[in-house]
Amino acid sequence: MKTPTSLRIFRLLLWLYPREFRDAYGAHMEEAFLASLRRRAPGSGPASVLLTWVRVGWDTAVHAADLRIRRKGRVTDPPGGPASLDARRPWGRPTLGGLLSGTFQDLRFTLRALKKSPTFTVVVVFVAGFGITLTTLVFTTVNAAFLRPLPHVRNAEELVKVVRELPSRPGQRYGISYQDYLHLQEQSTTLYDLVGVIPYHELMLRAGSDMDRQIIGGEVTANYFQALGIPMVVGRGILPEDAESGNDVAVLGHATWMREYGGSPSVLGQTVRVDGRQHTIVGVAPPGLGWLSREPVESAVWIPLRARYKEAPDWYVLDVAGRRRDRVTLPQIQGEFDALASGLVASDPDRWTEDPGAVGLRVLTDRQARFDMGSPRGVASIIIYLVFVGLIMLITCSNVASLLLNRALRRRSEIAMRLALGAGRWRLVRSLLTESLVLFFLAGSLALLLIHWGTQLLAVGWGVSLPAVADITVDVRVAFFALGITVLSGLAFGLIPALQATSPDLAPALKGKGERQPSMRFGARNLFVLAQVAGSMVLVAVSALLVRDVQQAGTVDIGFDPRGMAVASLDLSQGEYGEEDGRLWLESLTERLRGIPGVEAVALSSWVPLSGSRWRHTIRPEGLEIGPDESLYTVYNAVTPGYFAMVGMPLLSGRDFEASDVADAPPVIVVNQAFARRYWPDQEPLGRRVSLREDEPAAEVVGVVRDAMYGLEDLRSREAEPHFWAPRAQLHHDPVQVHARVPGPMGPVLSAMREEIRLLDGDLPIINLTTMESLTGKALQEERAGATLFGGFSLLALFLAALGIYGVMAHAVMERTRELGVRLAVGAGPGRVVGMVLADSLRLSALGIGIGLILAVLVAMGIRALLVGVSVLDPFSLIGSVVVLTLAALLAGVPPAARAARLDPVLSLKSE
Amino acid sequence: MSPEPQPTPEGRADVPDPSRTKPLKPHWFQILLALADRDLHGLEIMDDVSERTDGAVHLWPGMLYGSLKRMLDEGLVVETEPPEDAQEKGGRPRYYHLTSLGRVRLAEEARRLASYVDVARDRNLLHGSDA
Repeated sequence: MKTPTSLRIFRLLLWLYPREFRDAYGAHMEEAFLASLRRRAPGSGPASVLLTWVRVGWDTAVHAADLRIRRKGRVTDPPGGPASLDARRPWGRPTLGGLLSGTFQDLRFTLRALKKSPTFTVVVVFVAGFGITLTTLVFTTVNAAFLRPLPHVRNAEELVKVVRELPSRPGQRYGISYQDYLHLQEQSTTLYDLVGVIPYHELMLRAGSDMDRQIIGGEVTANYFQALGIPMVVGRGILPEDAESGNDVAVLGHATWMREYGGSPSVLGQTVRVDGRQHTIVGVAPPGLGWLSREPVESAVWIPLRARYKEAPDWYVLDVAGRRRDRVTLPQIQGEFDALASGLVASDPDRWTEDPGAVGLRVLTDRQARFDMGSPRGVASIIIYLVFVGLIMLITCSNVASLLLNRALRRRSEIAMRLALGAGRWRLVRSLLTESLVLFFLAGSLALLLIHWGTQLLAVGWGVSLPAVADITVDVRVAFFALGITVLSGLAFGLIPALQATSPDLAPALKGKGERQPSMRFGARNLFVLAQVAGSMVLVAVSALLVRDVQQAGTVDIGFDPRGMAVASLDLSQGEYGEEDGRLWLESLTERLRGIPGVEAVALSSWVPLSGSRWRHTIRPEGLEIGPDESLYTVYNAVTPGYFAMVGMPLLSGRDFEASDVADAPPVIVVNQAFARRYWPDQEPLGRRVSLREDEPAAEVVGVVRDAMYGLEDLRSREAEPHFWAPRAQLHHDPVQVHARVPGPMGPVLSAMREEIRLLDGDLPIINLTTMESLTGKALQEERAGATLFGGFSLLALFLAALGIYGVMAHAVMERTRELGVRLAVGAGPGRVVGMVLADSLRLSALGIGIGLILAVLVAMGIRALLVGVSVLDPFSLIGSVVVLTLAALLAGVPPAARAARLDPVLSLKSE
Repeated sequence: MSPEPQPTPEGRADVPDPSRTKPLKPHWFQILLALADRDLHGLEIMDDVSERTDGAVHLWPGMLYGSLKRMLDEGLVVETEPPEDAQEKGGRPRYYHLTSLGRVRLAEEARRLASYVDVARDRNLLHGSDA
């Protein structure tokens, strides 16, 4: 808990005390408060901070109230207290003192009243508590993903990100190469302290034991830790001197430190092997330190940028950000970077000839970068977040409001009596409002507890696959959000029942008849149920659409067969292999793997489709006029002969690669249908040439394979991207995926593969050894997690709406006791009465379902970008939702209907 | 309806009758106990109570100063001059001194509590101690 902020909050709390008390003791109480913090909240975990604040709040509320009541009671009041006088004024015109003492009286009255009806209190507190929890949890994820500044970075608001955007691919952002970064850092006058990081890098870490572990790592520019001003837990960050002297140093992430070294400070000076090289540990990063634009990562290691990334001018891998100088506006920075981009093109025109748009630099603030307003999917995600938050809160509040209204109407006689005796309407409204505020306050407290557990649950349940909720913690912003919606909804939804219950139509109420209309006119309550049913309808229908979409994506034909396939990921650059040695080593590995019993075939590739990774290469198809904006940055993979047959991508024409397609043979490639369509529409692709590198002969297209899904974008759009394949012998890569076709049991083969790789090179880290299915499944996980989340929300909303309908119907039956009694007395069978009540319940819901249906379609149109596999008007989802809602309405009507049927005609007639 | 307060010799309506035996609130007892042998200021009272009770009783700011204010009103404590060696920190500290009325109430409460302990001792709950 940071002292200045907490003290500021405490000073606000002090205003609750009477002024003379505050003047006399305020300073001392601040000291006592700070001392309490030091003694009572030594840990800074959210639970202990929360608990301390709850105690401080309670302490303040109780003693401030006590002092105020005593002060008033002694100074001026006749026996009986001040509020009774106040209550006799028609509309109050309250003085501040009267208002406060009246409020405390209301408070005591309310607490007594609530104690007397525990069921009502518990139901309201739980319903409202759940609503606030859900809303706040959704807000928490938005907060974590978009609003919170980068943690641990000094003056994070100064940071401005620099990205590359291709004019031909708006919304897609690319990194910056190290050499361009150096140029920008040197030239820029509007930004200073430019830093760069390669984020989400999969590195192999070997600490202590002899097992390599795959870990998320970042490679950073020399000034990264200094320029960002990151406070280290132990030791120091990576310094520019390290880069100059070529020291292999490493900074451990907090979680890595805890896991591998049990949080021991003696870790400094020890060595870890990162990607096969020894690095000296110089420091430990604070918990939750992330990348420049992303959320914190769980387990990490940071090392200085390695030489291979520094040397290549066209490896666009760095996330770059710099600090904005005083009084420089974003447009000014953008202007300068436009000029710098032109300068880059002018300084090295050759690099950009193939893709002149590739150098477009764009600057954005951290927040802009995260909101990602450029992409329609980003906008759609935000819309859906807001819609869900709003609807959940609307449903909850309507529910609570109708409960409050029921209660207020039941107290109509009492209220009418007080009005008749001269109590001001304002005074009564205020006491009813106090009740709703107290209830919402209790609900808010419950919600804070639930949120504390809920965020842990979310982090465990979805943290792995949903990046937006990778780090969701309750911070001040979340707490204030919860407090805000608590107070606002308490006021807004307490006011309507309060006004309606105190409407000055006294006579019937005084006679003890309550509402006499036998029909369905229950005013505000109908409105609340309407809102609930309509809101739930929107939630259920939109969730159904999202779930259906994910289902469709799951059943879409991915165009290859990952089943029965083992994949080992290796990176030869981590061993001491040159290009030729590496090829020979892989050949002998392939031979040995073929010898494993149960392995049918072996082939190599550079990456696995749908595993999240994808490689691109700039190309120039021969005879094609390239428009200035056309991006020829095309997906490719380098594979060995037999690959296509193995992964089940059928060759439509031409041939597969052959053993004769070696390094010095004429270069060849295989393309997919989308490639052929894009560059040679309606023409024969076989025999055409594609230039891959300026100074080398163009490669000939020798085969065409069927389209498949290679990345998440393909899956989302159900459309394959242009893709080409080259023989590994002609396009060398250090990273390699070794595929083995295994028709039988997978387990023994996987361990045998590990053995064989170990035997050939015990030092080469095995980055991953698993089934191909588990790799391709990753792409869909994120989508599934999102849909599950929304599905869960909509179920809860449905439950709340059913509860609301039930409440209204139960009340309606109670009010129609006499009428129903008469009907039963004159011979209506119980079945008929049940039918009547159920029909009322349906009639009540029908309008809500109709309105909800229209709104759901509107929302679906707004988030069309998220719905690829299903139509906005998907009949299955929409009709299904209507059926579900109708069933819920029927079910909610059953208990009241049953009660109506069981009415004793004699007793119910006497109830008048 | 609370009964009309009886005027006392000083003419103030809110000075309680010292003869009443209503138990002291536990945290009032702790505060008075802290002041039994020396004058202290608020933070020192907080620390004394906290240490003596092993942290089981913590006086939050409102409870501490709210109680002191009421004890002042009821004449159980008075404010007193800070001792010579008092550290000046954030304004003049308010030192509190136990009045004779406060001492009477404290002793009464201690006796009341001790009577419970006596019962416990009689019923052999405290064997092994210095009974």
